[in-house]
Amino acid sequence: METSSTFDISMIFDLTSLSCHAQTGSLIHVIVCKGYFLKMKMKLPLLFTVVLYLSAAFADQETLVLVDNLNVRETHSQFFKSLQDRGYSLTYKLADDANLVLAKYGQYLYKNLIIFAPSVIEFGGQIDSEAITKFIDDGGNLLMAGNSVAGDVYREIASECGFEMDEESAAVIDHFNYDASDDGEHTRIVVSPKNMINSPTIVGSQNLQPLLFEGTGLILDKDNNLVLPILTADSTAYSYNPKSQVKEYPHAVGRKTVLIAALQARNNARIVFSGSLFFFSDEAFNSPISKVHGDKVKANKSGNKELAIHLSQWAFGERGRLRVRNVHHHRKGEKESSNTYTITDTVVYRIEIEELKNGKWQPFDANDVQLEFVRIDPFVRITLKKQPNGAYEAVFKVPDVWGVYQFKVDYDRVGYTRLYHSTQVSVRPLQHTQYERFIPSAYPYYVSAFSMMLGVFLFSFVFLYYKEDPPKTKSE
Amino acid sequence: MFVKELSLFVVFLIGITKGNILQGTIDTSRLQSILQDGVKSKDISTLYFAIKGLKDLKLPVPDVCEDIKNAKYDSNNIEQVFYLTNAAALSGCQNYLSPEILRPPAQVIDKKDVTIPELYYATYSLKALGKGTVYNKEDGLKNLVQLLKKDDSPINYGYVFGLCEHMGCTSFTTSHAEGVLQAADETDSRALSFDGGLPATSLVLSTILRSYKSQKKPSPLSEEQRYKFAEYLVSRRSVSTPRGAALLLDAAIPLADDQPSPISIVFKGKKYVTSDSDSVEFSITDLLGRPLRNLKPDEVVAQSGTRLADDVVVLSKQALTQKPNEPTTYVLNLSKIKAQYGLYKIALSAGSKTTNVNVAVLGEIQVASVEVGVGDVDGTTSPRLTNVAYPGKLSEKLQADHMQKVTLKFSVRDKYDKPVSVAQAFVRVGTANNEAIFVAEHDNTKAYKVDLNVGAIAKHLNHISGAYSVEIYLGDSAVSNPISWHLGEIMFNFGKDANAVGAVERGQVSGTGGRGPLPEIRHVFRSPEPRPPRLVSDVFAAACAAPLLLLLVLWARLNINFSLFPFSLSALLFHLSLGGSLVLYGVVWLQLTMFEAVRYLLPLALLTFLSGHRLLRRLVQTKTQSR
Repeated sequence: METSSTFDISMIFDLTSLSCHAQTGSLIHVIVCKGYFLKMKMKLPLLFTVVLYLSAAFADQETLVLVDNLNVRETHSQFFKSLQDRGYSLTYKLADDANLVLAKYGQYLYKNLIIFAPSVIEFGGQIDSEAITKFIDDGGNLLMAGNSVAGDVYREIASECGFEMDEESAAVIDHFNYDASDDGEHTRIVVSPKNMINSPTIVGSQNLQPLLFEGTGLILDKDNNLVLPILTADSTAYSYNPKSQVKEYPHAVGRKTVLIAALQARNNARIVFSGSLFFFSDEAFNSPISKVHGDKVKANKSGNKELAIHLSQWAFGERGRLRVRNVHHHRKGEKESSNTYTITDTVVYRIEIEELKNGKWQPFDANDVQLEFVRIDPFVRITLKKQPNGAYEAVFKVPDVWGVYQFKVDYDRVGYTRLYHSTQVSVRPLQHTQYERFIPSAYPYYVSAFSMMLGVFLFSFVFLYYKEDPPKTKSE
Repeated sequence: MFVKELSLFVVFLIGITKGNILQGTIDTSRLQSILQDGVKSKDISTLYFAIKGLKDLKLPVPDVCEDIKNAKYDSNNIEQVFYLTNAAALSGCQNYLSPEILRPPAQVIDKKDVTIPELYYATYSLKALGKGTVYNKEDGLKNLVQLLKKDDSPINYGYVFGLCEHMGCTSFTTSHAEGVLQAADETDSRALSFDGGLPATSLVLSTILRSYKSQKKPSPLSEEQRYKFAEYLVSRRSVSTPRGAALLLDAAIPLADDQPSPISIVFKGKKYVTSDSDSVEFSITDLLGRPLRNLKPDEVVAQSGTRLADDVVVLSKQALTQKPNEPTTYVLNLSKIKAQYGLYKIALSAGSKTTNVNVAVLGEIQVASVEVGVGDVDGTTSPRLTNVAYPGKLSEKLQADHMQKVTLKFSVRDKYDKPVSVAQAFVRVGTANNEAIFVAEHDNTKAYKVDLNVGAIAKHLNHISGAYSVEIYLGDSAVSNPISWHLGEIMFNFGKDANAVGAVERGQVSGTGGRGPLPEIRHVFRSPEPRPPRLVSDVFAAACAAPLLLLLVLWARLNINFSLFPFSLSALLFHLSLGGSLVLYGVVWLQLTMFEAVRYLLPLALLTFLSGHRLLRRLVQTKTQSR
């Protein structure tokens, strides 16, 4: 089982072999390089425990499930079963269990956290919104589902993650798109799969059945570009307390009402936040759909199960994970890598990228990977050409400005972990032997220099050996 | 009148406190199809549960003897042996089993550290094979009580109760059942279940109920427990495996058969009335959707009905009528309230039990026309008004700039042309990718009005001027025909703020979260400096060579001679090394680096110096001698 920790380690080794030649030999230097280039979350002392990390790799499937009551385990059994079938070991705990712990001796016991406990007022044990935020900061994944009665703890965690949950008892209402099984408040709404984010990595193929949703709406800050609206409501929807008349402007209206939101933090921790716990329930998975108004959409089964499974796969890092396997750069026509290039050299840069698919690292397939050649600002930015086996190649001419440059691949796409790799090289000016020799315009200079040298040579003979004819005496 | 209302209210309260009527039933036909699929399975546990479930439903079991004969099982796993033998017993295929199968249960019973589930499986395996009397009653029970002391989880009690059914110690069951039932976990104070979920709950409930029935005692379940266990079983109705289905039926059937059976009241069909169909149907059944034996049709009464919006009581003590030929279906006629739409709470009682259901009285709404006015913000000029009739569109494209405002006025009326207010009266202004929604507010006469101040709404639309479509949404939970009216397009001009720098771009990338390929950058190389034409440089090259040529010509005219040249080694060496150094300069220009040149130059220079020194001394000597 490949894991994020092995990913990190392979990155370190790649980097050490490429960008830190000068410093290899000592582990500390290696780490300095790594810290400098990767700027990742890992701290120096942690790196010394590489072995520890490898052992932690097996804990990747450890998942803590916090529930309101153990009945949730049964009402949402299909969702949990799909996780167990994929190899997750689920630990169910009541959300207010007094013995809850996420970490022991500084080591996290779980890699993933599922919170299906909307009615919790305060978490038990050592868990609170701060502990959960720290868990995310340390790279843990979170799947959280609420509903319209979710309390302040939910709102706190949501706002830590960049979402805003509507007020208590507010629910998403859509008088135009509700399901026949609705209770009369038009809160069990039918959402078209067209309202999903366009990212097959997160939500899978787009041709899903319509989705059933019942719960509260989320509001996203549009300036926060780490937050992704996975599923949004239709223009006709709004989030409000269904029991009261709309007196104030609702917090979420129309397509700004986000039903399911996701966040991929800068440390690649993933969070999926659903306003509806019902969305993941067996009832929603099995329920047929028949919309009461409008286009009268009908389906034998909702698309909830498929989407829920896709979301959990993404959230827990089964999809959309990338790593760099190898990086190589050299002058065109040469084989060996170099850490110094001369201006206007033609350079070949090759990066091999792998994607985690079905538990295996396989060549990654894309056509928008870009390389930047950066000296403070990017001087060159080109799209890498795809080669077989997940390799990407670029051939370009080094700029005629010398200095310290970096080859930078920063692949940040919706649904994928951020792939960042940089290698430092220096670019120097031409050596004096490398300049152009026979410049026609300079022939006057060449001719004068050589004629001077020839003149000196000849003059040395004349000066030393010329014997003047003896002056003719008057007698002659 | 007031007293009557009060007494009704009291009845109604009692109804609530007496435990909730079930709001759902277990759909046996769905379970049946799961079980029938399960019978085709080759897995022995699935097969067992499928057969057991079908037997519970008193349905015929297809011939599965071949499957049982060929079934694979692990003879060390007593649970699998139990499934195999009992599947065979239930389907009457005992003869297809090999006699080998007797060995594992016998071993388990003799085992020292045997657990209760193992004993249960072993005993029932033997019973299925007709070897039931192996386990002695008195010792057996003592032994079991010892084991229970070690682990007294509800499921173990369930197994012991099960064993007692076989051994004939049901008196143990009846003496301990109430204690076990007290140990059930309560969720949301609505449902009761045992630790261990459906398997434990099913086992304990079914063994207790069967034991009491066999002893002809009334069941130990209180009415509240009865409803709460039933509530739990109903919440588990979405099971999808034959195992779950069989366990569910195992518990649900005895619970439903045990009188008084929990009552379930479910809407049959729609949950609302409209002016066209003024009655709602309920199906009043037991847990499994079967007719209730003890319920007389005239005991089904709607005790009261209140409107949720203002708590006005609208009906009381209205009997429901049983639908002919459908003993479970009862019809409530609500023609009295169909004109006043809204949500109503109806307290419905069946026998002694009362429950509250929400019924929506849906009304149709209509909107005749909307008045669109474009006028100045400061109101100096009277606005230009355009009337649009539903469901028409604006005949012309209206224009509005940032100094103006657009006003929409409309009123919503019900079927009887009376103005009403609705929960959702929104106006959407937007394009395909971008939208802003405004809430219309109504005044005392229930006339809705929205003011769109063009300058102020610009920030909601990313400051992009252009044509925006305007739609009106009218909806309410009590409206049967929500109206979505596309009114046409209005040109908004946001003036100088329009297309502020960066605004458009931000709008475009918002879908991808600012991520995606960036524009490519190509480095622009410095262009080489311009050079003179070749002819000019050649002419000047010739000009530079001219002085040397002139020198040679003049020397020739001087009749140059080298008669002082001494033919000595030092003279030759001096000139060769001097020439060599000069040639070296040429080579440096062509290929050598400075350091390489110095390496060659140093010996040459030394040679030049020594030989030059020697040559000059000699020249001087010859000069002085000749004098």
